[in-house]
Amino acid sequence: MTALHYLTIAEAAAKLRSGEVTSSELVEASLDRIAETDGTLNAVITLLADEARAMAAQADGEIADKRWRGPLHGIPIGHKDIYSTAGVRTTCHSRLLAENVPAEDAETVARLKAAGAIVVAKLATHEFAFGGPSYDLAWPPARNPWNPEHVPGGSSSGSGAAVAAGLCAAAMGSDTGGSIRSPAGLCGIVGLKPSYGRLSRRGIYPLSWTQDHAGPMTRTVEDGALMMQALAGYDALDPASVDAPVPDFAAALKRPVAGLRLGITRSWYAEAADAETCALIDGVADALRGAGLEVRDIDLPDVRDFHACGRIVILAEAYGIHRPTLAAAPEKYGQFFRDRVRLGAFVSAADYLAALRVRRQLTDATLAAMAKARVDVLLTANQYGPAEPFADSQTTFPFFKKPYLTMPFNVTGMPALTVCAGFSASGLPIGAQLAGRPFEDDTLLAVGHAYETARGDLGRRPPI
Amino acid sequence: MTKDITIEEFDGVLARAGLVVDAAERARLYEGYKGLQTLLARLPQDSAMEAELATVALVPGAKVVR
Repeated sequence: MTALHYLTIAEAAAKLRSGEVTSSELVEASLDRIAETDGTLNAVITLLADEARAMAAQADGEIADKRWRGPLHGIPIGHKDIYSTAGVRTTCHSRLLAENVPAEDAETVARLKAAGAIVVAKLATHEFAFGGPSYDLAWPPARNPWNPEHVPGGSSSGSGAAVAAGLCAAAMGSDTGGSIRSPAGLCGIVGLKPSYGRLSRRGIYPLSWTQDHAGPMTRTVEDGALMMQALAGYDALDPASVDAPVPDFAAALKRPVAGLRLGITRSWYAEAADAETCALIDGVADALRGAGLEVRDIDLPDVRDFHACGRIVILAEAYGIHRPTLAAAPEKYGQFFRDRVRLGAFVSAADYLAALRVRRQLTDATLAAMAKARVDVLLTANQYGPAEPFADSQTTFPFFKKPYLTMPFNVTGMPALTVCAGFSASGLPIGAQLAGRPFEDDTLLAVGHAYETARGDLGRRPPI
Repeated sequence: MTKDITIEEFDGVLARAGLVVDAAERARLYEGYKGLQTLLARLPQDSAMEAELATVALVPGAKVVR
C-alpha cells in the first residue's frame, strides 16, 4: 500500500472524496515527511505547518459538506520561493528579500488556493532562480533525495527534491532556461514548462521577462494535467498571458495517441550524452512506438544556437532587473548570482536585439521543420547524464559548458514536458524531454501520459 | 566584437559597463566575458533588412503576421 506522502494527486483526491482519507491526514503525513527528511534535503525555506493544518481542517469540513472543489482540494503542495504568497515571506532564496512579505498572492498561487490546494512550504531555489547551487546564502542548497551528495538540479531545486521525496504531492517551479525540467529530470519526477503565455507569471519574481514560464512539478503526468486545469487561463495583468481557450487537460489524457508522429532530435545530444542516457531515450521512443506513435528522426537548428540566443536574452534581461540593487548592495547577493548577472552588463543593445531576432528565426525554423517532417511531438534528452556531485557543481559559469538541452523550448515558447526515462547504473534518475507545438500542451500531456502508461511504475522511491 | 582581449583591456570593458569589482571578481568576470564572446559569436551580424515585429500598441483584435 502506498504511503500517504507518496499518493499521487489523483489517488489522494479519490480517497478524499470517498472519505477514505482526510486532508488533515495528508497534511500531517507531509509535515512528518518534512520533519523526517528535510534536515538532509534542505528543500524547505519556510514551513507553513499551522496555516496548512488550519486549511486542511477547512477542506475536510467542505468536503464532508459536499462542497468538493475538485481534485486539488485538500492536497498538500509547495511553491518555489519566488512565488509571492500573501502574508508569507517570499525570499527568492536571497538575503536581499529575507524579510519580504508580499501583500498579494501570485496569480498562480491564488488559482491553486481557489482550487483548494494547501501550501505546506515555500521551497528552496537557486538565488533569484539563477545563482546556485550556492553555499554562501542564508539557506543551504537543496539536495537530491536519490543521493544527497548530488545536486537536485535547478533552479527549482527545492520543488524537485520535495516532490520526489514525498514532502508534498506537487510543487510549482519556474523555467527560464530549463529550471523546471532540470530538477524534474534529475529527481525522477514530471515537470511541465507550458506554452509561453499559457500560465500567468504575475507575482513571480522575474528573471527574464520574455523567457520566464511558470509550471507544475508532479510525480505523474496525470497530476500535471490536474494542476494545469486549475492554473491555466488568461490573466489580463500579465502582459505575456494569451487569451486562448483552456482545454480539458485531464480529458486529453484519454485521447488516442496512435498515429501521432514523434520526431527524435538525436543530433542535439547523441555525441555529448552518456551511453545510458542515449539508451534510455531510445527506450522512451520504443515505448511510444509501442503506443502507436510513428517515430522518426528530425533535424532542427543547432542546439548551440538556441543556447546562445536564450542565454544572451536571459543575461540582458536579468541584468536589467537587478542592476539597481547590484550597484547599491552587491554584498547582499551570493557570489554565483552576482558574477553571472553581471555578465549582462557586457551585452550591448545591438547584441540583445540580434538575439531577439534570432529567437524569432529559430522559432520559425523549428516549427517549419516539424511541419515539413510532419512531426507532432519532439523527443530529446533532458540532460547529458544523471545529477552531478555537488563537488562538480561549484562552477561560476556553468552555461559555457555544454549547451542546455532544455533551452530550445524557452526560446521557442513551445510546451515541454520532462518525464523519468529510467535510472543510471548508479541509481540516479535520468529524464527525457517531450515538446509540442505552441498551445498544444494537452497533446503533449496525452503523449507523456501514454509513455508513462506504457512504461509502467518504475517501482522505485528515493532511499531517503 | 573583440575576442581574446587582455585582462588590462578588460578593465576598459568593466569601466564602460560601470562595474566596480575587486580583484577576484575581475578575474572571474574576465573569464566570463570570454565565454560570453563565444555565445555572441553565434549571432548573425548581418543587418535586419526585413520589417521587425512591432512591439508598440496594436489595434484591438489585430493579428500579428510574420
